[in-house]
Amino acid sequence: MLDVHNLEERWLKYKIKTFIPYIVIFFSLIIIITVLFIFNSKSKINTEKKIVKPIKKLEKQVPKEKITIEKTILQPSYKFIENIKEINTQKIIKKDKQPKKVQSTIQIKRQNQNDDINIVLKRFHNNKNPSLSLFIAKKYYEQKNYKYAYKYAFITNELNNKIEDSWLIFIKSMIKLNKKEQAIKTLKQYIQHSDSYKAKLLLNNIYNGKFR
Amino acid sequence: MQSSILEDSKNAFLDTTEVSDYIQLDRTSNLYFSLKESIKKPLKMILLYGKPGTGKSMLLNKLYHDLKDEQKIFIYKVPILDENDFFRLLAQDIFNIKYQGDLNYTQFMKIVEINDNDEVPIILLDEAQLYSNTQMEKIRLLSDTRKVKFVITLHKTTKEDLIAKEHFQTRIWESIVLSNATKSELKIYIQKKLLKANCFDTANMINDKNISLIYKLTDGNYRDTNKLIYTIFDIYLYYLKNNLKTIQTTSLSNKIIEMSAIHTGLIDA
Repeated sequence: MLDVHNLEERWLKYKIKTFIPYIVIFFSLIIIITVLFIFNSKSKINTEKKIVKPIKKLEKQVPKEKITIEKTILQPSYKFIENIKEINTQKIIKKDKQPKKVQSTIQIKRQNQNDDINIVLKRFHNNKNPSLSLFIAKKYYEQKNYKYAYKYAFITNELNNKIEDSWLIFIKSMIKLNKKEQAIKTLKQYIQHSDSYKAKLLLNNIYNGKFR
Repeated sequence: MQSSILEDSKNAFLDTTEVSDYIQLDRTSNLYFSLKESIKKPLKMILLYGKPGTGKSMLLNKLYHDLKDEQKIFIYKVPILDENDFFRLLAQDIFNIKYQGDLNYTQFMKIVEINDNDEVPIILLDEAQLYSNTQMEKIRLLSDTRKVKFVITLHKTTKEDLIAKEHFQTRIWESIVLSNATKSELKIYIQKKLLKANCFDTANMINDKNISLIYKLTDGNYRDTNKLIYTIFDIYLYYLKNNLKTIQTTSLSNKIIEMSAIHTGLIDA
């Protein structure tokens, strides 16, 4: 005689039993993936720490030099700010002499970029975000406004001295402002403590004369 | 679906060796034909072997059924383990001698020598692996006289031991191997069984996926398939009679197949 109720129960247990390996495989896969993800993220943090530590050591080891660098950097920057208006007007005069069509396109471009910078400047003054100041520095550098590029790269470094790009813009701007020796000295110190490939390349380019 | 159809479908899979239940498949037909041909040859012994549930008994039964009106043929479906009983029964069937008291091998051999038949009687022994070694030895010696021809069925595992024996190897014999059905053969077998019982509706219920599952569970063994499908229709009948569930009778449920497999022990749950 068939006991169908009992059979149904046994069937249900059997089904659960057959699905257990799949469930185990599914959950073990999830665990493996999360463990790998955590491991990867930790290893990334460790490599970042390795880069950061030497910079901190640099600050401790050569505090005097840094102070002197800061001093030399700050002093010329104020003068540059004073000269900004004159340079800007000079540039506008020069462009007025150019044919109308070319002038109009350049003006539009410049206005857009200036607008961008102004908007970002406003935002930066509100929240003091180093990524914004770096953006401003880059934009000024693109516009060949090296004094401002130098200034905002310096401000970025003040806020966060671990950003490689801000160091590079800072050094490049220094060179453009005819402070080559000081730039090389700073770059060497940065390379010594960060082992940055980009920085090494820049130093090499400076020595080769590829970057002037 | 009417419960009578399910009842008929269920009964179609009763595990019997009745000739009326014999399902003709290409492979089994060929084997049966070769078996019939072997009987005509001057062989002393024919061996029919395979795993349990591969249709040995059914084939032996069919052979008996087909030849019983043409020649002297006797079938022993249940092994006669007592030697005296065995030879007494042989003497009675072959030579029509009703012997009182014990009849051992030597006495029986004398009867064989005295009663010389023109026609060699055929003895069909099912489940021969159950006979003792000494009894099997005597059966072999008896077959050597060429006065009696034996067709025996054996399980494959025990057959290997028998072949290993030297005296058996020297005998002129033929062996026919029976194996489990393939998936396509199993499908034909199930369909033919149902159609033979006029159960067209239930035959339509079984699709290829069901066949695959049944094949996976039974490995193509006819006996296991019979048991499984018998229980499947039994479960369907139970649901139908008790109105416990609204069961679909348009297709066979894999759940019920698995439940049936649990009940028949094909699934260990």
